[in-house]
Formats: sequence, structure tokens, C-alpha cells
Amino acid sequence: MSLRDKIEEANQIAVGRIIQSDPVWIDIREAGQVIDGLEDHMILHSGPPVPYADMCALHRRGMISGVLFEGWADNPEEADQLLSGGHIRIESALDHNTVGAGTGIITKSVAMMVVEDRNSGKRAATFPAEGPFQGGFCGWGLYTPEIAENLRMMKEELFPPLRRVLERTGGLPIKPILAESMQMGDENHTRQTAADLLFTHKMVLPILEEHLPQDILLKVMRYIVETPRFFHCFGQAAARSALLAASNIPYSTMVTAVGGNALEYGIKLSGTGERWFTAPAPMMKGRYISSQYTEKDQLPWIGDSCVVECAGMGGLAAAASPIVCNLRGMMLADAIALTREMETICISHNPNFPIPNLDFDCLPVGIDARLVLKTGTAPEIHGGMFNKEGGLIGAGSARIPMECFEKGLLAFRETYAQ
Amino acid sequence: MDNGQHTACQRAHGLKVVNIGLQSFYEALIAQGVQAVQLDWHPPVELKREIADLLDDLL
Repeated sequence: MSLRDKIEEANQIAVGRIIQSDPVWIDIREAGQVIDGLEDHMILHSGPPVPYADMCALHRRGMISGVLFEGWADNPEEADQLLSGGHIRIESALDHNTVGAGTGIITKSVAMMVVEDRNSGKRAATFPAEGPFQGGFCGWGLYTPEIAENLRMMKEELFPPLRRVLERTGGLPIKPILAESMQMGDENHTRQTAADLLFTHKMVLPILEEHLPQDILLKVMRYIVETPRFFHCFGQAAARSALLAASNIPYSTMVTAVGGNALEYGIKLSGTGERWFTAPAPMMKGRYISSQYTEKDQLPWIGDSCVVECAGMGGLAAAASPIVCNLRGMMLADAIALTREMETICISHNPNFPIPNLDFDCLPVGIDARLVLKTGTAPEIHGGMFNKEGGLIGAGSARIPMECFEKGLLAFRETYAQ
Repeated sequence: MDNGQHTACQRAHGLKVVNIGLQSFYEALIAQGVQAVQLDWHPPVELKREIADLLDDLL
């Protein structure tokens, strides 16, 4: 069999792992219990590996927040000394079975949503939004007594009833929510409006059947209903569990992980395992929440939530969500054209995701690094824009740097050339 | 002939246009009542020699 034939066969296997995945929300656990290799005195972050000394201000702040949250130091100065002295192990979230959305600060005590791909058995854990604090500690790298108290409340009061629901019902299937929400205007990266409603619709009766005290019931429902983009963590976990199943397939040129740390943006290819291929992190184009912000305020790409694009959502699903594209001044035809463009760099289409705006053609899935270079078309990734000083200042899109794919395929050929 | 007569003349002769490239040219034709289709085309990607050779091996 020629090298090309081996690649084609491997890519069909890899994309099949995504298409056939069956993600189910099965548990809520502390990160140290469900993230492989996450130990004490260790902090994960978004994007490719980066040492503390080189990190952007947002990540450095997140690292200090992580130390304080876990009680490894009493104040920021002590935390900085611990980190600078190498006493805290720092690793990339995407080198573990998790996703570092935003700053992606993950330590052992954070409560995580656990999703299992029933098809492959792979599990991914992602951190939930923090209610009124939204990105809060994990997503924005912030630490205050109020944020810490909110995380405690979530873990000790909100999540035990939800865990009991999962135990009693056997878990919540995620793919039907993704499929239906993308027929209702979501692309499941920057917009989860429909997914939030569908999730609530499916969970409200099982939660009521727990017969919780009124005050706890209200807290749980308020958290679910009032947290913006609540469902986002489940979409990420579903994507990540499927992509873990699609990873490390010899000869596959499919992209299995993507993320940025504001300095670099990196990708992984299935056939080259856990190797990162990086380039300078791109800037985003989009809409700012206030006219006071311009590109000079924006931090280059930070965050791993674009793994959902690797699973065929987000930017690849633009046609499903013209509303998101309209925020950038695009019309329906442009959103459709964007998904059609993404088709040219993908291995297949996902029969689980037919889209009305595409006359019920299915969304493209499985980014093939070879096709990216051949067509000169980089994958479109949706996301939030961060201020250099911290906080979300807008939403928009960027293209994954071509240099990542060049490096990846050069390494691929080195690995597999006879 | 002025522009209106010219357009009428085109229609009379059943002129049909395939526009390759700039979308605005297609839109201008449509606005003037000319039958046209837009061909989604762009110049071939210019690859670095090293990448072109790479793709020859892999694709």
C-alpha cells in the first residue's frame, strides 16, 4: 500500500472516531480525580507548553490564582516565588484529557464535568462556567475570595444533586443536544443559546425528581438558567473525548488538538501523536463589546475551546449560525460560503449534523492538514477576544496559522518516509 | 446607445455571462438585468517548493 493510501485509510479511521462518537455526561468530579496525570502542586494552562517566565500577563495571573486557590501560598508574592522557583509543575491542558478554554487554569481541586465517549471509552473533563463570575478562575485566571467561595458553593451545594441525577438516569447524551441546537442557530463555540435551552429542557424534570429543599433547588436552577453559555463546557468535552479517540492513529494527517497561549498557537496531528506544531498566535477580527476597545487592546489568541472546530463545530459550522457571523458584518450567504470553504479542507461530512441553511447537507468534519496546505485555506476558528489586562472584550474569529500545518506535515513525512 | 438601450440589446440577444473572480462585477451585471452566474474561482495557491514537494509525497 502506498503512503498516500495509508494516509487515506488512516484518515477515514480518524474521522470515523468523531462521527461515531457518543458523548455522555456521566459525572462531576475534582480535576485531580479525572484528569490523567494531574497531580498536587501542578497547574494546567491553555495552548502549547510555555514556561512561567515567558507567559503573558493573563497566564501569569492565572498561575498565581491557581497557587492561591489550592492554598500552596498565602499571598501573590509567595505564589510568584513558588512559580519562579520551579516548585509548581506547569503543563498544557491539551497534553491531558481536558480543554483549557480561555486561560485554562486547572488545578486538582476544581470541579469538572466528565463526559465519556461511549463508542471508544475515552473520557474528557472540562471546567464549567462559574455562574455570575462567568470565566472566573478557570477561564479568566481570576482569584478573589468571592470567586473562591462561589467555586466552593458550586462544588458542595450545586453539583451533588446533579451527580445524583446522573447516577440515577445513567447520564445525559450530549450529541442529540449538539445536533438539534445546530439546527436552531448555534454553532456551539461562541453561541449555545439553543443548547442551553435544550439542556434545561432535558434536566428540569430529573432535577425536580430529586425533591431538593426549595433553597437548593432554586440555587441549582438559577445556576443552570442564568449562567451565560452554560452548555459550552459539554460541547468542549464531547469534542475532546472524540478527538482523544481519534488521536495517535498511525499515518493520519487529521488535526486532533488546537489551542493558543497568546504567544503561540499550536496544533497536533493524529499521526504524529502528542507533538506540538506552533506559530505566532493570531489576532482576531470581530466585534468589541464597547467602542473603547480596538485591536491594540486585544491579546493574541488565548484558549483551547477551538477544539470544537476540530470536531466540526464553531467556525466550521458557520452556516448553522448566521447570527454569530452577522456580529462580524457577514450575511447569511457569507456564513454558508464559509462552511462551504471549510468543506474543502475536511476529510468528510458528519451525518449527525444536517443543517437547514445548507439544504440539509451535513457539516464538514475532520481537518486534513494536507488539504489546508494544498488549498491555502486555513481553518476558521471562532472565539472570544481578551483584553491584555484581562476580561472578555468581544467575540470574533481568526484563522489557524499556516505555519502550524507546514511544520506538522514536514514532521509527518520525517516520521513516515521510507 | 446609452446604458439602458445597451442592456436591452443584450437581453434581446440573450447574452449570458459567467463571471470569474470579483463578486462585485457579477452583482453589477445582475443589477442591470443581465443573466449571469458567479464562478467561485481564485488563482492557484503558490506553494513554497518544499511544501509542494511535500504534498507530492502525501497527497
